[in-house]
Amino acid sequence: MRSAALQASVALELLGWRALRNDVRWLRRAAGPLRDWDVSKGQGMTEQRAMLVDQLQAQLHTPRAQCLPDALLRVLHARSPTRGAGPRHQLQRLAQRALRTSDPHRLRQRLRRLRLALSMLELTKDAGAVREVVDRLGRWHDELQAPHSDTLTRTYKKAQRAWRRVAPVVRRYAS
Amino acid sequence: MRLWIVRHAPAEDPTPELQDAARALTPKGRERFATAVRGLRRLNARFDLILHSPFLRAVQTAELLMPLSQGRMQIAPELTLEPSEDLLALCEGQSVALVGHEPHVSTTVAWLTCGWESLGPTGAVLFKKGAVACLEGELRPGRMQLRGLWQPGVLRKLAR
Repeated sequence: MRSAALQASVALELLGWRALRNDVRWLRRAAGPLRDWDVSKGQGMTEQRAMLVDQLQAQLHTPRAQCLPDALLRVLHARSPTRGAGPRHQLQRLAQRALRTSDPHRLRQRLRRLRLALSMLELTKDAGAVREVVDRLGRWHDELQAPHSDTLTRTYKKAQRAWRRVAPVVRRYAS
Repeated sequence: MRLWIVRHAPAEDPTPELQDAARALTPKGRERFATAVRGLRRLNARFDLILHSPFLRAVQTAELLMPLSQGRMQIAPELTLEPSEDLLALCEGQSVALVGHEPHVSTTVAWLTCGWESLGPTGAVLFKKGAVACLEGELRPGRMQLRGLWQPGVLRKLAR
């Protein structure tokens, strides 16, 4: 659900919509605690996990969540009335945003959006290159959570090297 | 609190093939409402929050109001129903815009200003597509004052 919500958010951004992005973000955040639990502790049914499931289901049963999928479908089939800059310009903005941060976590989040946008625009080769950086930063992030990781530095350096290789591609889209 | 009640801009006519919720704004409706938004700006309309119905014409109308927003937009299916306490509970901030449909927009005005739950068969409030009403006061039925009701033509003239 989080992944689908992220894709919807990127699609809205590419099409120039500001509407529904806040609602989609809300949905992603609603699924966050359960997702974090599953990543760190596995999906075994414990009392705490059951509580998180109940919380998520309560959110999903609100009128806001119930009407969101149909509203998204209608919006994604229509054009934004503001006639903002087209998808290519939005792609440029996503690339510029990625280049503006040196924080690895923020970089990963911004590159993830950029990668999805590239895929949606069928720029698959560059999407694959950006994905490699996202995956490596993701591995480093997971190792940060693991106690006493002895491969943390190596993983981070691999991520840095991958980013150095891909940064020119991102700069091309940003210019 | 200030409440701006907006009826969606002119939209495609209903047809058997086109689901009501999927009716989009017409090109002329978009253009005219964008001009009306400039008129609203001259009235110092600014929003902390824009709540809109999930129907496409309301989403598009809310999108056009974004230049006046300093905050966020949020979908509110309560705006497809008669006004209720559930809707009022969503109104956070000092200045909130509600983008919805007739007859609920005029009923909302009547409910919040006079405590009436309906305007009767003739309807005492004319709310054309793209019209905006501004209410001010305590966000409770019968406790708000109508500060203004501008039909879209007036808003477009203000924009000039």
